[in-house]
Amino acid sequence: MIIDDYIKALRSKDHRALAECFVEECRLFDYCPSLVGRENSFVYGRKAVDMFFHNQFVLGGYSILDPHMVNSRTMNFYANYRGTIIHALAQIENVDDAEGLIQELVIRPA
Amino acid sequence: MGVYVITGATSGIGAKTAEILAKRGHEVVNIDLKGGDINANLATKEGRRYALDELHERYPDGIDAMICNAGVSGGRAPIPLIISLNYFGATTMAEGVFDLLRKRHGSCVVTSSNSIAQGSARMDVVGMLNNNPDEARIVNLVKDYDPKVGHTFYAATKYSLARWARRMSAQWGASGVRLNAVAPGNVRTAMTANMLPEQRVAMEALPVPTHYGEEPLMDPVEVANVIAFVASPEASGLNGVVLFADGGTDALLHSEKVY
Repeated sequence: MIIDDYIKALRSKDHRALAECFVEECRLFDYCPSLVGRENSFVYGRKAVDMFFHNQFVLGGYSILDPHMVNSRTMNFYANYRGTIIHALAQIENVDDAEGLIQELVIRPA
Repeated sequence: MGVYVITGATSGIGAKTAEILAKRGHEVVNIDLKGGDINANLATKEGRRYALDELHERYPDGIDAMICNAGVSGGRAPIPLIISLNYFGATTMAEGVFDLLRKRHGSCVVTSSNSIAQGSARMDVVGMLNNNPDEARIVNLVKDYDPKVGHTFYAATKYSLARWARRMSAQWGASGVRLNAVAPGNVRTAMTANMLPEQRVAMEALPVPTHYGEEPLMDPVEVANVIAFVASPEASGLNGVVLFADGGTDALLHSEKVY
């Protein structure tokens, strides 16, 4: 399942593997950063996902903790924003039928 | 054709900007530590005074542009040098030629950095530089910091430089002199050639979208063309702008900051 690959990429902070979970024309929204005084994220496109998370993993202090797969489209986890933890849900909203890759993913506070 | 003065034009972005301006037929005056038309150490008050005196003697009828580009990156350089050259070397030179710029309705461009958007700048130092710019006291305060944390001071000088330009631009603009900042991304220069391994890792984590899948450093000409434009009369509508010339890095990381 694509959510397994998604979780594995996040846990290992592998921005390239993370990008490969998404179709070329994808959307990833994260509404949690504003809870820690940061700008929420609205990332469009696989290459942007790759670059954005390269930055976040190395310089942004971003990681995930204790991920639990709720179902094939939902992950319950702790988002770590440079030491401040937000309990969050990552929801795969749409998956590409042909490739099985993520078209749209939204992260919200749990 | 105009008289364009540029600091730090012996190499890197400055050299490429000078080359572009010279090709357009302008008289270009390079002020640098060595290899310049005027050799002066802009990290010192004496060097700045010497350079300003030279400019006033050579160009009593004014100059068309002042491009304050000289700077040093963090990582190896002593923190006081970063403070003195990047901030005071730029603002003192800009203010020192204001009268010459005013005579010809010229413009001033300062070279900032897109690192100002990364959240790494020491904002306490930014506040000191912008609000209480006492060079001797600030330099004394930071002199014992390890150069390894120099990037936070580098970003602070570039942040305060951009904010200085924003603050001064209304008065200057109303007096006939435009004042803007250009914020480059990571550019291939002598500074980047000598990066420490940890600096390279950090540099690569600031991706340049227009260089995706390629060398993550921009070519100096990509920034130089922007500086040359902002300094030119064709950019007469620009004043008080901090223009990111970074291939889209800032937009990637801060898409919601439209203003």
